Amino acid sequence: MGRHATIVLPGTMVLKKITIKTIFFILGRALSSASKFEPRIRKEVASWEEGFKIKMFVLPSGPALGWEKQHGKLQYLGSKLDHGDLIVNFKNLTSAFLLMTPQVGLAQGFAEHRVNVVGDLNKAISLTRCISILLPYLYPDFIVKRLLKEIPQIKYNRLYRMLYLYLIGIPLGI
Amino acid sequence: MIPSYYEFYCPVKIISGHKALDNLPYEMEQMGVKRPIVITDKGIVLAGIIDLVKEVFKEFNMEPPIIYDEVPPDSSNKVVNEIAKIFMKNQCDSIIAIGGGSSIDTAKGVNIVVSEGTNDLMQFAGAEMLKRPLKPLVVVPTTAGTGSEVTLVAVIYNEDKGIKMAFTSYYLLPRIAILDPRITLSLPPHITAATGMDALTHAIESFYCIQKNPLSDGYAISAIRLIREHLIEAVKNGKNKQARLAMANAATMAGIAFSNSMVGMVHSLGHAAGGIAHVPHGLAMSIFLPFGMEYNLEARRQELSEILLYLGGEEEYVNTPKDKRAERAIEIVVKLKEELYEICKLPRTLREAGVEEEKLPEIAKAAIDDPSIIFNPKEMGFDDAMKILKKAY
Repeated sequence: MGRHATIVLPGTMVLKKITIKTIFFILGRALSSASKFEPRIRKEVASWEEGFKIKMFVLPSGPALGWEKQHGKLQYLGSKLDHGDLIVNFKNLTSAFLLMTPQVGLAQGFAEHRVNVVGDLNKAISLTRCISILLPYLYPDFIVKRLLKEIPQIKYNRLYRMLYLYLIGIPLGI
Repeated sequence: MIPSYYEFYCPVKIISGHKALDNLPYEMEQMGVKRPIVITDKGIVLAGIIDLVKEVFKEFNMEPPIIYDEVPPDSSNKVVNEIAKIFMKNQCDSIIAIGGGSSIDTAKGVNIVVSEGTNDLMQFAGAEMLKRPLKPLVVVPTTAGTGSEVTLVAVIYNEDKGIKMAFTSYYLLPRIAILDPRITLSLPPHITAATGMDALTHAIESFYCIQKNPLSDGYAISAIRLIREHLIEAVKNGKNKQARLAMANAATMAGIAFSNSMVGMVHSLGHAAGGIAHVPHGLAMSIFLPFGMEYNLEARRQELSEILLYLGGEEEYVNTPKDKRAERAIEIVVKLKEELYEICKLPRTLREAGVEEEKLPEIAKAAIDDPSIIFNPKEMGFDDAMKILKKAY
């Protein structure tokens, strides 16, 4: 039986990086925005200390995404963050791509060792909960169902919040 | 079903058998170490186990190890620092942990401090904070339950913050684990029961949580079978060396299983109940296990049905209708709890364990923040945790 070789085109890597950078931008601003209007995310963020920094990083050289808790809210810092109190490292570009596109959910990502966490694990769980609460505002149910064990209940007008995120929160960063 | 991707790692050399402890000095020599410190507690000294260790070192013409025998049941960062000072003062080069979860986790903490040359253990709390190999660590477990001898985790109480902190790193894995039934012969029935239920929980949760894989499954089902065959005998007749050896092996196998497939909500609730209401870990596992299985029933019916074969035996499995096997597996765990209560009064509920009802909300809050919750098949929010805690009360 012959061996099958997969040819990795240089452009594939560049495309993956651009995709991840774009989704990091959307996720970064969306979570920052949602931390202002979504009470459950606000409650999670309230339990973190002021100045708490979170960094998501694709090993070995990026892209990266950072947040900092400022004045009780989560601020998106873009990719400019030297260190994080909590660092979520994606082990490689493929793992980051699978989680961000989003083909694999966060819990499954942890279970498949696609990420490693440096820092306080309780806060990592809290961050995971924040992202789980955010997902139904970003994606339709048929995608969210694939990513989460169960879809978080939304008490507010979901469509309105989705429109707010995509038209104001993400583009304007508020 | 084979997962699309998984990882499995267990580099610990297991030495199991009657008088296995006699190999300890030889193994130390093989590792090129000369001056170990033994970390243990007074109970182990009273049981004559430390005399046994000194004896085997003498027989091998090796200098007797330095002994620290004051590890408390709930060890802390201060105890770790105290032992680290003794380690440095005596120019030790390796660690032997002899004891239950507290002594083993303390030894792992000491290993971080002495290997990293720090006086602040807590800066390494969390996951993957260690960047280089530590000193050689040999573990001789004296209870058959925690599986700490083959895990990459240590949980140490932070006296300054008043909370238990978890450390996880592949570098925390011991080099060698020695399973010698002589070491567990003096374990009282209720501790044998609680630690045995801890091992059973490791095996069952690792068999149905989301990181399960074919290799961890193999260890988990072998552990469940051994526990079914030997736990009651080990509790009733602690001097039975065969039962003790089987339980030690079961605990180690369950430890390997859960170290690679992780555990779920039973552990989340147990860690929280331990931290807030000081319920001993094994006892908490015994109390919560059937509730955890029940909570995950629909998400993991197939796995729970399969567990019946190992938990109840072939006859039980064949005689139970296919659609009732998962429920029957839960009933068997409940029955086991009742049996252990009859034999040694192992508490079955949180109330019997002395937990105050007012503490339940605090336990629920801590449980949903516990890292193991992410590996549970079904989501558990605060309200779900409260419902389970009330049922278990």
